[in-house]
Amino acid sequence: MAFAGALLATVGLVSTASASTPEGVELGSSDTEAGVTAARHSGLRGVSAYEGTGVPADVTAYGAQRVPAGHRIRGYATPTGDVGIQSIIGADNRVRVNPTTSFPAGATVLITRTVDGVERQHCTGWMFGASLVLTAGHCVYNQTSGWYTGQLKFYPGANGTTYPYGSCTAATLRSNTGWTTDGSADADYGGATLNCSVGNTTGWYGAYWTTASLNGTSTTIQGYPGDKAQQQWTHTDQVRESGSLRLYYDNDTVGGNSGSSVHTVRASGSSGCSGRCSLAFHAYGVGSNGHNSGPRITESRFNLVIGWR
Amino acid sequence: MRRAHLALLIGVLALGACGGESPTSDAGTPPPVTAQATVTGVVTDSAGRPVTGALVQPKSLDDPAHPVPELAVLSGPDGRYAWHLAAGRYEFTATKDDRAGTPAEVTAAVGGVEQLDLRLP
Repeated sequence: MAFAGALLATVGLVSTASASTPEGVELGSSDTEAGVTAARHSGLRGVSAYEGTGVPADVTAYGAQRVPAGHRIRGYATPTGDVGIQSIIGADNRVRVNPTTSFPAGATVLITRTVDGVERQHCTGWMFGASLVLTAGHCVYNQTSGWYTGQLKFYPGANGTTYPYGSCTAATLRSNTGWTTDGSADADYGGATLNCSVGNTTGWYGAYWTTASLNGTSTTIQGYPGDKAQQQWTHTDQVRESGSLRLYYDNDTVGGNSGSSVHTVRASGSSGCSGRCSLAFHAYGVGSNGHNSGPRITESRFNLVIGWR
Repeated sequence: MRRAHLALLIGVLALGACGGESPTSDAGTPPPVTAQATVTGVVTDSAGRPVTGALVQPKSLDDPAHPVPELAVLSGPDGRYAWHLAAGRYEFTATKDDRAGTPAEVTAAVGGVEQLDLRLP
């Protein structure tokens, strides 16, 4: 009895703490209905997308490094994409994003990793603040080798061999113990605080959480598949299964898409989040249920990543 | 009052034991290293020369299938690649441009390093 009471007391403390609203976070209408517990917990809370100020004349004004056109990153392009990759479900319906200088293309980030002096395509990330990139946990931390400190570079809006927003490096790599200690695929998300504020010019994605089923909600994945030589590609599908910690969808992806925002587009003025609103972090190819998947943005995850801004 | 404090402490400990998702960063204490399986090898062409920049993709053959991280793992200048994965049975394929190699199968054990060379046509 005392144990149950203690649990309740503790849950109460956690709930109170997590219910506090981080700065800049917009509440859905149901969250403002004081005393309506059910509405509060099935409500929707988030932060809207910001479309940025556009390509600057000088990226160094934001602390980014200029990158000359033609800068070589190891990768390749397949003419058709039809190379039998499992996470392309059915026909390859990806569409190239070109140019990449408008939102959200500029806020979609190519992540490279340099090992033994060779820089290679690695993952995708998405701006979630002036200096914050979110991505998959396995893009910043590996259970065998640890943090990828000093190995990662971030190129917002990279387009083949042109880099309109330059590049930045990470001041801090971030994840959570569900991934770094437990290695749980359900908690495979992370991020990087950059040494630049390029998000002010690229803009950033919004995000929201809800405990309601998201089945049928449209999902767009825009990022850097490893078979397309640093080009940005996109595909839209819908949520096929909603787990409490994971979303499943049939967007066509390839290795390199890890860390992409799984987002939906919400009308201006929508409760909680409007514009490009992230629902999950893309992380895995087809699993046992036949769908691609990624960790879902939950209330506690939302509060955690907002705290990284 | 003392009983309430004790109950609260037990509650905190119980929740802590359940895991959870506390923030971590590379500025903090390194988390314990967890054993994974490693699969490494060299991608070569039909003449046996190392192929650089080939995309190496695993597919889980276990039932239920392990989810495979969607990393871009590309072979280096010496054709070498390395994947760290959950232990299990996998089929690996190398692709480059419009070429796809014959899939090759491997069973990878926790803490082990399996050598799996891949060939492109």
